[in-house]
Amino acid sequence: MSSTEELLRTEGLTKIFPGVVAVDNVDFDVRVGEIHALVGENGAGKSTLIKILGGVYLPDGGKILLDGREVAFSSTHQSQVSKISVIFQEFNLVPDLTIAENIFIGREPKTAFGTLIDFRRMNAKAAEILAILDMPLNVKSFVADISVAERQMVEIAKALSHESRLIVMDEPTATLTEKEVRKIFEIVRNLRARGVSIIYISHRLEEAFELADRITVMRDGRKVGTRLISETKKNDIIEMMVGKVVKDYFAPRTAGANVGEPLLEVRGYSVADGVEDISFTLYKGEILALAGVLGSGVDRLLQSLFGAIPKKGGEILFEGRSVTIEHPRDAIRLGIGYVTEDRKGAGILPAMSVLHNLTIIKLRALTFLRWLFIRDREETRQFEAIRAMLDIKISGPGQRIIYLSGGNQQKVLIGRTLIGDCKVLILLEPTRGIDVGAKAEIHRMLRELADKGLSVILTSSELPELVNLPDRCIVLYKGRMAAEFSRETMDSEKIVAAQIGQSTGGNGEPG
Amino acid sequence: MKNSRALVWGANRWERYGLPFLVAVILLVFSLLSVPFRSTYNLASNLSFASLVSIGSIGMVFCIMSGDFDISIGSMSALAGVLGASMVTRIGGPGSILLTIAIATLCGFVNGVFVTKLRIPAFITTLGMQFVYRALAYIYTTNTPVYIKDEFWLSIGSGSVLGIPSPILIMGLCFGVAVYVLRKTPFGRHVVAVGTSKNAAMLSGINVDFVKTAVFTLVGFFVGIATVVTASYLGSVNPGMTGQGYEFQVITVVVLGGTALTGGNGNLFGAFFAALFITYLQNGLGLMQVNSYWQYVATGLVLILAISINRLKSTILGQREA
Amino acid sequence: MIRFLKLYERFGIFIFIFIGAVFLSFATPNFLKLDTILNIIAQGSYAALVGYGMTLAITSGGFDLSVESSMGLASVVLAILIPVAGIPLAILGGVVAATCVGVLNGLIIAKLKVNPLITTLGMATIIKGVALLITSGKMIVIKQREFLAIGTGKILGIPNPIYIMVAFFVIFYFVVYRSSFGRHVAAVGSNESAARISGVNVDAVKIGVYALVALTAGLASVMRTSQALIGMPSMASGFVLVVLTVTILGGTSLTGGRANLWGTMLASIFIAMIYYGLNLINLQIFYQMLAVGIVLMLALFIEGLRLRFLKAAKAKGIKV
Repeated sequence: MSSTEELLRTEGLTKIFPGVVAVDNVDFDVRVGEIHALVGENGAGKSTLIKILGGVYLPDGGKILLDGREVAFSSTHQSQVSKISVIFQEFNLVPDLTIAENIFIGREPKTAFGTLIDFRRMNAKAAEILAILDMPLNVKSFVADISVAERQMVEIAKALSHESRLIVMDEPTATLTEKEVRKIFEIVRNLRARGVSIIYISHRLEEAFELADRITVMRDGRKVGTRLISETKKNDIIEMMVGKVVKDYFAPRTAGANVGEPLLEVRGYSVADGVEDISFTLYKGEILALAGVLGSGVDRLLQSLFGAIPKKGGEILFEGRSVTIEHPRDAIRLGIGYVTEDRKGAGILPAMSVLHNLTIIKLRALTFLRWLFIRDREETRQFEAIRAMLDIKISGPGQRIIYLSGGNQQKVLIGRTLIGDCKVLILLEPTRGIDVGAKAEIHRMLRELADKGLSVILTSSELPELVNLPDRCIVLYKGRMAAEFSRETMDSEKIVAAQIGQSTGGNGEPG
Repeated sequence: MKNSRALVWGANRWERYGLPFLVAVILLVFSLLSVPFRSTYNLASNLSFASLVSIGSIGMVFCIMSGDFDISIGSMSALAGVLGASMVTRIGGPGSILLTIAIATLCGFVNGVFVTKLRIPAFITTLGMQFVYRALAYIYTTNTPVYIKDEFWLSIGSGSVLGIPSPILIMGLCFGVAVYVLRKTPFGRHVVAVGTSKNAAMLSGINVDFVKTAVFTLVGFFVGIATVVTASYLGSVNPGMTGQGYEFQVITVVVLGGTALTGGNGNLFGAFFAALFITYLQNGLGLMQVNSYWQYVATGLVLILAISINRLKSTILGQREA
Repeated sequence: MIRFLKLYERFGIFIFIFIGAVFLSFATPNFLKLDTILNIIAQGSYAALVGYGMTLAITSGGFDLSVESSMGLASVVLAILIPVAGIPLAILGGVVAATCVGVLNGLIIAKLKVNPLITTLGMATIIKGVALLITSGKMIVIKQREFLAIGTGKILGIPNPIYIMVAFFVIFYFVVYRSSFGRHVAAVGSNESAARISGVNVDAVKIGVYALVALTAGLASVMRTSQALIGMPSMASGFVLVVLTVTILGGTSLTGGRANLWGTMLASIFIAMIYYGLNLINLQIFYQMLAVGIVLMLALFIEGLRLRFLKAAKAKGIKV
């Protein structure tokens, strides 16, 4: 276990941005050799806090004490020099440089000539570090060619090469397979054994509970509390995060409610580098989950069903008729809607207003004679209807969408599909990066819509969401159907097992 | 503090009134400094003259809004101009005018196809095509200028309808149509969407390739119109001279007018006033006997300053990350 | 197929040169003479030299459209200084003048954060104006005939420009692939924010890059001016297209991060071969422009196809 010796402490740390106090008078401490989980909703201040520790931001108030002495980081470099490394979600690796070059960037060992790099020494040192962490990588490979999990490892190796005593990891396992997550856990525990402290930020409470020694909850920029993992329960943490007891977080649906005839039927469907010979049926008014880890092909299957990427073979029947979907336009015309998981990059239209974002799909229908001019009043009226239904909080239809919170933006994206008379809604990671309160709201909304006849296909990497929200869950593994679960047979362990290819027999078999 | 209220107020005012303000300033300054500048004849004829750059800038605004660039417009102009002008004796004035516009539009379309189908980044495609078009113009005319021997065509530059000079009418018409398309048609919205997030636009059912090709075609179309008017003023088209530096002027005007280079929002009115600004600036400098080479320096500086101001404004207003 | 594409990345340009050489040797017996070949390579050395700089610029994620104007400025400064300060100092002056332009470019791009297209386009115009102002639009004749030696002289039968091309190839090779500066340039082009957070002084890197491009432009200008013995403000019309073409044809990726210096040098030889071929059929220079433009389009097209294919293969999980 960890010691009680203190490594880092913040006192009254504060950071203010125009209009919001991101970090509000936070007293936080990390002990030597401990794994300290940091949790909180989006906007709670975790990212800002670690950015201050990483030297990205200067605090507006309060102090940071390292080993009891006050320090200040005016640059990322200074923070590194103080033996603190922050590994951000987006990674700060250069794809076109090798692993060794990435680890030693900015402080490459030089030859006698002065500015020329001593590649032999650099590669050797890099290999050493990777060996310590038991990472089987070739230091001469380019970062562009290695997997996400391997990049995570390179970041850790980089931190270690700086002889960091504190490593901050921001959502390290968000996109990893179960096996890769295990590997990262192993490495993190290894680090702890070597006396390195870890601040571990995650939206996955199970991970925090499995890995950490202590857990700190932040909310609205303030620290709500710090607890020993061994002395607290998940529900307590959730309560601290949300500030109120969230009932019905995953209220189970009345079994078999309002599920109608087959709406969408997929037969023998294949996508290049994706899935092979998939068949399933989606019924009217049902919520179907497609689960699978990275490499299972779920994402590509759904992208192809929507027409964003081509299919290799197979057939789609919509309302009984065979249809061709080769471009999102075809899918939209049929009544299929799609909400991407990449909200920022492929979801919102940043330069446009909330109104324009929501109505973009339906413009032709709102246009007089389809070509002449857009009927503004009708557009605003339909927008208002959806806005009210989804309870999207805006200051006005003309507000630019980038000023909205993640949860509200997600609602706009969902609204975009609904305004087009959607019959099938495809959602990828519907509540990723959204705080618990908004999560519950979106789940409730999806339930209500399904009850009214909307069919939903969703994917999620959050087990609780997979287990409690949908009526049925189909698991894909390596591009093929691995298992199918109904309301009654749904079980987290079995789902996870199926995702990593360990399907058991019995009621886990594909239907 | 960077985003103090005063700065935000200033940035907002600039966004709305900055360009007209600049035009007023330049008019004032040169009117005080130079007598010939203040004559109604000079002011009015320069208004007409500004149509050359402003009409060409319309297409470019759309192009930059959709996230691309076209630096081949000068050569497009030369090629379309020589081809059209040389046909005057054979198909008559109005026919040649239409031919010029058609060829320019076709060039734009070709650019668009290369960018969308061959997936080559726009600036480099158009950089290459710039030389191809101009080389074709040279080859076709064996490097000799083509004179326009048609009354109708020649009359456009100096003529007027109901007392308003034709170039100004054409300019007004073009801008009117452009603003309408941008604000009131689905296509206009689609252009903005494609420029601000290509992926999101595609997932919203927009045919990105079509929009981009259409935008490049529009660039060609408006360049064609501008070429017709310019040729009318000069009386001839020259494969080497016509359109030299045109792309530079147009991009300066578009940027000065406030269209963001990152794609998304475009500013047609701004481009119009920026065209006025540049035209009067060059005219004023010329009238004050400033060495014409200074104009190069001045315009280059304006471009760099303009974009710096735009970025500053966007940062202050929080429209972009600092 | 993957193997073919990987080989193409490294040796593709050889194939072009080979085919071109075969073609040309059939076209004229003159081609296979050593003199001719050396001349062709010497012709290509200007584009190669500036191409090294441009390769660095594109690797850093930007590019420089102002090389023509920098060359014009250097030429003018050179011509003015020779009678006053002697040849060596004049050369220094010309190169320094060009480099200053590069530093300005770098400052604007790095500090004011204006994008390279606008910056270098604007700067090109400004410097063109400056050069024209200095000479009032005229060309300056250089009376010191010794100056000819630099551009037209030969050592051991090989034209000087070739030595310069090779010498700078070696220098740039070490800079780009073996020095921390070069690796940082690639880092900036590959993932600028990561480079910045990792402690790389991105601003300094960018300024250095654009200064180097301009430096190569200045040097090339010295050689050209020496050939013509005239200081010309508009010395290099259309040159920027050639330089960009050889860089891209040579395999340097437009997205940055991967420099192909070897390819740049070879591609410039290839383009010189094309010019030679066109000259043989007595086509006017406009055809040269056309040819280079078409070659550029083709090079881009092939590059685009190659990248798409590799991306698809990678998605299949095939190790590339």
